[in-house]
Amino acid sequence: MVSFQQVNKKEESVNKETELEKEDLLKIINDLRENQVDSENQRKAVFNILEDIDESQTQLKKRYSELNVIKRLVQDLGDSLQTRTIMETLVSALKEAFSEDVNFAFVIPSFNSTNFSNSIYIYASSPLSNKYLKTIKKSIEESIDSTSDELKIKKKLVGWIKSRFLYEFVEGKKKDNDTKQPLSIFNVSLVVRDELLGIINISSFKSGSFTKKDIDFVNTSINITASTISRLRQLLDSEQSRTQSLVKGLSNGVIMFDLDKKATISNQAAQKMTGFPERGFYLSELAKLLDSQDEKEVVQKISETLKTGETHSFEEMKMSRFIYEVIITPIHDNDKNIVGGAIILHDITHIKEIERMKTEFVSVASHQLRTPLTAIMLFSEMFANEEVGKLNSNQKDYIENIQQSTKRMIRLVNDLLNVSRIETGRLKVEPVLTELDKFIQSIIDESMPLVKNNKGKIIFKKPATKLPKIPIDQTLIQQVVHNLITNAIRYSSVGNCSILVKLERKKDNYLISVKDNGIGIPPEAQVRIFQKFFRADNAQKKEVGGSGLGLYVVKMIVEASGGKIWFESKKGKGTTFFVSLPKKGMKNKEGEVGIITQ
Amino acid sequence: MNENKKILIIDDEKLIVKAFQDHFVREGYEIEVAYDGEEGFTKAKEFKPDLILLDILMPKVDGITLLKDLKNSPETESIPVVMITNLEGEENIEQTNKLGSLVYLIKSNHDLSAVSEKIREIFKKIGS
Repeated sequence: MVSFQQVNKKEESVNKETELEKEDLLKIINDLRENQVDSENQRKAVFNILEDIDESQTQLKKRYSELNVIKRLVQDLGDSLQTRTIMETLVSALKEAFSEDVNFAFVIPSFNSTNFSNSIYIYASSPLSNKYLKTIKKSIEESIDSTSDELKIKKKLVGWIKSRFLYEFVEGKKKDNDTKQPLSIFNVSLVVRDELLGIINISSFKSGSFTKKDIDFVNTSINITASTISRLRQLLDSEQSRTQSLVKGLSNGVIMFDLDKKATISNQAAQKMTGFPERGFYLSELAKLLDSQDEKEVVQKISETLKTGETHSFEEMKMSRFIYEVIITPIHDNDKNIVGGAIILHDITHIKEIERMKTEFVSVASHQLRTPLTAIMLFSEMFANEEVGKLNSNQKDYIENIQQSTKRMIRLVNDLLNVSRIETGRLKVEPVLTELDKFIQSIIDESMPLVKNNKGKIIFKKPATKLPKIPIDQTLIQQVVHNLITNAIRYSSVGNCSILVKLERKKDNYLISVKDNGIGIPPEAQVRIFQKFFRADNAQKKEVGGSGLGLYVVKMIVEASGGKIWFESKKGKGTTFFVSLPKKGMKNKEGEVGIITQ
Repeated sequence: MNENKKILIIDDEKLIVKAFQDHFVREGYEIEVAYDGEEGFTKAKEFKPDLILLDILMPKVDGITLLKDLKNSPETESIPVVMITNLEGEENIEQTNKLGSLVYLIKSNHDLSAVSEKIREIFKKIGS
């Protein structure tokens, strides 16, 4: 759609009758040359536009492949095809095609008031007078009037916009003491799908600067741009509606929010989960549905996400009677600026319920197993102690085998109970101030019968200076250290068993190590040594009684304590396990149960 | 040496009761048994034991309620009670301690000699 007024006074005088032929010839050559320049200009301009189109298409493609479903919704927040960028691109493309003394200007007379820009952006080839600027403005206003008539835009709104125009120089500047006027001037409007995106004004100090071809060329460029934008918008619209319907249909709740932490849109699942409307509420209100501790944390993490662009997640959060996994993720615009974020609510109530049932089953089953096992243990003990008559050596041997197996089975059941307690997070952590060195010494003392049984020795090296007390859960750490020492003894040979327990003070933590000269962990078993039920081949041969749960439980306890566990080992030479505990000790954790010690 | 000491075992697990009973009889104690909390309370009053071994999970009246009843009844309040159960959990231990039981033993973790040892210690301590 084009509107133009042209001040184009072309004068041609053909006075001479003579040399007509020569003149004609010159004219033809001239025309040809002009044509050549024109077509070169056109080619350049088309190239520029093509490049732009190409780039926006690649960007678009990249964008859709990269962004996941949720992030796509960001396009709802703003028009990603920025009108101003389009106009700027267009003007710079057109500038290429015209001589350097041509002046350009554009306006974005958005009739959507939230998007209103009241600037007349000016690209001046040389300083422009007030009069010149006024002529541009007048010309643009006339253009707006005629276009808005066609597009049926309210007169009042048009008047309002016109009254607010200001000049803004993108290139060049104003010249005050000058009265020069444009002698050639015309406008073109960029209209996409019945929306007036912008008007470009092209003017010159010289008269007759713009030929019909020039104007046609500008119109062509504008039309190409308009259809490209239209196509891109269509693409975007269909993407948006696809994204929207995708997000709408998601079973996960999605709540998008802006920088003010106000919800911009939430899907049906989220509305159902929270009872909040589709948009317009503040996240602080939403967070009130959570426990006060969670509320604080969520509000804080949302701020962090908006500031740093990091994604935060919470494994488990209770909201009314449901349990959710909560993810807070930032949303970026095309320039990678953070423009808001999204909260994703994943209902894990069912999973938690199944987990609870599993735990309950393991727990009940273990309890049920323990009673008959206890009976076997008690009766075989009476046999072995010869309470009911002398036994011959075979009988004694067998009954001892029964006793050992029973005790092993009880240990296994206890281990299973512990695993289920730790895995479900029901384990409570109750730290008390403890002198680590004394505490470890007491665990070593407890292990002495086993060490002596193995004809071994155990040395404890502790720091020379007195250590401050730190809060630890004694039952849990006892389990850890005791387990490591027991392993060290079990997997060393009788008569050649020397164990070194060391307590060291490091910069940020305390390091407990248990070193043995036992069978070692073969390289192929090293990666799996902390896995549930895993036992290395050489360990299985050496000691039949293990459940493959000990180190797993130890690792879970250490990690739940904020510590770390690792080892160094050489097959046939021995193993050293290291446990580092944070200097500030363990944090208290509410829980239902303690650990079963054996 | 334990001849005149009377022990009441209250537990619904018949085989466990039998094991304790047989063992303690051989150690010279006089033993009475009850298989639920209600029967336990009656027997405690009739038999007047010197010590009660008490399970927690039982039909009719559970061990913790029974412990309360025992401690609230003048005829039985002075009888020492040893909780012996497979139910751990510190709440239980704390609660029974508060109610006046002397020791809390986990069945599967203590063999007969360990339980015997605990009982001997208690008799020694209370000096009867």
